[in-house]
Amino acid sequence: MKNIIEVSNLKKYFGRGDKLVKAVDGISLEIHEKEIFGFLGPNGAGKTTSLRMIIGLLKPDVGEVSIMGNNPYKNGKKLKRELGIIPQSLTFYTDLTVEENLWFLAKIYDLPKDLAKDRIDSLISKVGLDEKRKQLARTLSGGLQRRLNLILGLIHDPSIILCDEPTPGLDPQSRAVVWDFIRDLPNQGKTVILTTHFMEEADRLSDRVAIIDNGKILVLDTPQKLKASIGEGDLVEFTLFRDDQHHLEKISNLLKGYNGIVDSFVSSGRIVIRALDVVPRLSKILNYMESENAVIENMKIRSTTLEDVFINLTGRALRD
Amino acid sequence: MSRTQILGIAKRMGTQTIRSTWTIPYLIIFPLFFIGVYWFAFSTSNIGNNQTFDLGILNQDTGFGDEMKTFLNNETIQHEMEWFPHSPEIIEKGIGIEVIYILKDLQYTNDSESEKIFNIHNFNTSNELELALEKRDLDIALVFPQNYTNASLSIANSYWFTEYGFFLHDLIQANFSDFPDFPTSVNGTIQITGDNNYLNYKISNSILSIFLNQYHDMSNIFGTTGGKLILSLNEDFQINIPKYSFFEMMVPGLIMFAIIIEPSLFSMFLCNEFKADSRTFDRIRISPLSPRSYVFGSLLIQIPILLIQTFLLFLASFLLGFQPHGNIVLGFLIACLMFPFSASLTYITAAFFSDENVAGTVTGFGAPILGFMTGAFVDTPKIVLFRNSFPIASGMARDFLLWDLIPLTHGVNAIRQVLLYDFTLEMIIYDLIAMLILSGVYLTIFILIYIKMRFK
Ligand SMILES: Nc1ncnc2c1ncn2[C@@H]1O[C@H](COP(=O)(O)OP(=O)(O)OP(=O)(O)O)[C@@H](O)[C@H]1O
Ligand SMILES: [Mg+2]
Repeated sequence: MKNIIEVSNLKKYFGRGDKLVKAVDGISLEIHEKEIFGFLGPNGAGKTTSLRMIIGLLKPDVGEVSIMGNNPYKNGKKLKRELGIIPQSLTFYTDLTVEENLWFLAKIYDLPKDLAKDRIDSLISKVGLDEKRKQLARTLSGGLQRRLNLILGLIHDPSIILCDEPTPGLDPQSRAVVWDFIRDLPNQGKTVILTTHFMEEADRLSDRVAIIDNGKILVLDTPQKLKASIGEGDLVEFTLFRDDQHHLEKISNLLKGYNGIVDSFVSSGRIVIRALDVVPRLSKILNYMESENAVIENMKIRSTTLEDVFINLTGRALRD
Repeated sequence: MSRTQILGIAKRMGTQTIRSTWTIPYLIIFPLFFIGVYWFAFSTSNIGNNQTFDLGILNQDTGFGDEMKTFLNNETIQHEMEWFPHSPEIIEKGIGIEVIYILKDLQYTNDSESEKIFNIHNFNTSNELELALEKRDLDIALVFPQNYTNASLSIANSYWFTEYGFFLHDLIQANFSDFPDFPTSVNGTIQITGDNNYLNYKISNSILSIFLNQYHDMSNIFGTTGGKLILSLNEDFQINIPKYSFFEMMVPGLIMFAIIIEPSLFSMFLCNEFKADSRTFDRIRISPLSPRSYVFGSLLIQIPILLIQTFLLFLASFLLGFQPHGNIVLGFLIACLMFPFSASLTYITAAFFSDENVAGTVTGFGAPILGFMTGAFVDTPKIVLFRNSFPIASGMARDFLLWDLIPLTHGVNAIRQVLLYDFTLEMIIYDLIAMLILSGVYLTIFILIYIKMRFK
């Protein structure tokens, strides 16, 4: 697979002394052509900072970025038509209409008029903004504003798209539109870098994911392999009536030795077990727990998520 | 750089200006309000309506050269050369005396009370003169240099040569063979001094300048009409010096000043792009748009906005009773030429501030400070950078002060002289050039700083 972006030992620190923030602390990675590469990490992990450095909006303290063999700072000009951004914040002129925002960027990219018109029409209809095209951006609903934000970065048909948290606070319908839109980009020959703190988004969209925390990449692989790495099987979460830590730890430790249970641990006031073929064994497990005086209030079976991977690596949840 | 890109930027900013809820009211109300406040404060009061200015004179002229003195002291000659300056006083103290006499009798042309314009005070030493100026006992002073007479003769001589192909003294010598040669290449500029940050000085300077300009014009062509000769002007000398109310005298400065405040509006627009929660400028920075195109586009759209505002400023002042006797079109043009400096403030503000409200406030307060520095409202200390070096008109100069580095200073001088005292383009050309050069320098530097700060 061809590498389209190579990043080595990228660092960016903000502030100094007590207030020193190691926003990005030595990340290295390669991004393949036509993949969706996800950065998954909690708030403040350094995702946006990394993205801004990769695209050349922010100068790294240390490290090298190479996009299609070019350094975005030194010969960024060659890359200008190749790169598109979908910023985390809603980045458009609120006092211009949907259409005017798109036309403005089309002019900035010096696109021929006919081409620009076709692109604008097709982008608008792809995200379902047809009826709102003459509406001022500020009067759109939050979800529609997100959709506009999404297509603005694509007016010049870039081959690499850096997409920073595309769906915060979106309703399921808008989210589905955005996800479908992004999912389809590699089919159009585009490479996508996506950041998110939303594990489902990273899981569903990314071909490969880098889990990032405190400016460092903890692991980097396909979502499947990452999930598999922490163990086989499904997870069951138990909420008990008696939820003091001591009691939970005790039950959890007892479960560890039980037949077929791969792992058991306490997380956020719940007991989580990992087991192979958990459903047929469930009644036995429940019986065993009851015999140990564990009164179950609630129970949930689910498959491994990237969140579990993150917890496994850091001991913290993605969203605290 | 492409036209599409530049126009794209201009169109977007134009649309935003029109859509913004406060720009249009700001555009219309601000000029009216601005001029209105001053009208309200000053139109009915008597402040500044005493318009006899105290003029100090230091005549260092040693008059005619010895040879010429001997020649002129002959009574027969005096009789035969009646047209040549010959009174004993002029022979001794030089031809500047004539200027002083005319100044003494000068009156406002539209004044029923026949108030004299100048109250003349003679001084013997420059120390005394400086002291009186400092204490503001004098509004303005006129210094005739040691060789003023000789310089005038020298200028007259070369003027004749360039104009008619022979020297004036040759012409006279044809009739009076022992008439001495005129001195050649003598320099001696009349110097107008005073505190350039003192309103009374500015006003009286305008009056004095227009007088001297006209006087020089006439003395340059001496002798060519109807036998009147050399530097000798008589009662026919007519100049139009209208009297204005204090409010009217303030108006030209106010107009220029308002133009300087306008960037507060536009710097807000530029800063808008750096808002923390929506950095639209990021999209521009990763695009192929060059910094130059961005700057050109944003300059372009400021021009019509400025034209409208300037027009409204003029209109507002006319509606409130401003009746200038000068060339309004030229005045309007000068106001428009203040644009580069005004725009330069837009960019320097947008270079350093990312919050639109802060930027607006900074420019809003920064402009009055500039106004203060140019002495529009209060008197600022007189800090001389170059003595007697800034030309006012041909053969006249004043000190170049620290505040002269601000284009606004020159702009206000020029527009005031044009609107109030009907100066021609030629007469304000030095101020105009200084204003344009300085504005160009500021605009270039500030744009470069802006690009350095924002596009790197
Ligand atoms: N310009 C800046 N000045 C100072 N600190 C900064 C700056 N930009 C980012 N940081 C800090 O760097 C760290 C990483 O920020 P960054 O925005 O990259 O995180 P993120 O992963 O994108 O978070 P989020 O999910 O909230 O968007 C944070 O602690 C942030 O406060
Ligand atoms: Mg972020």
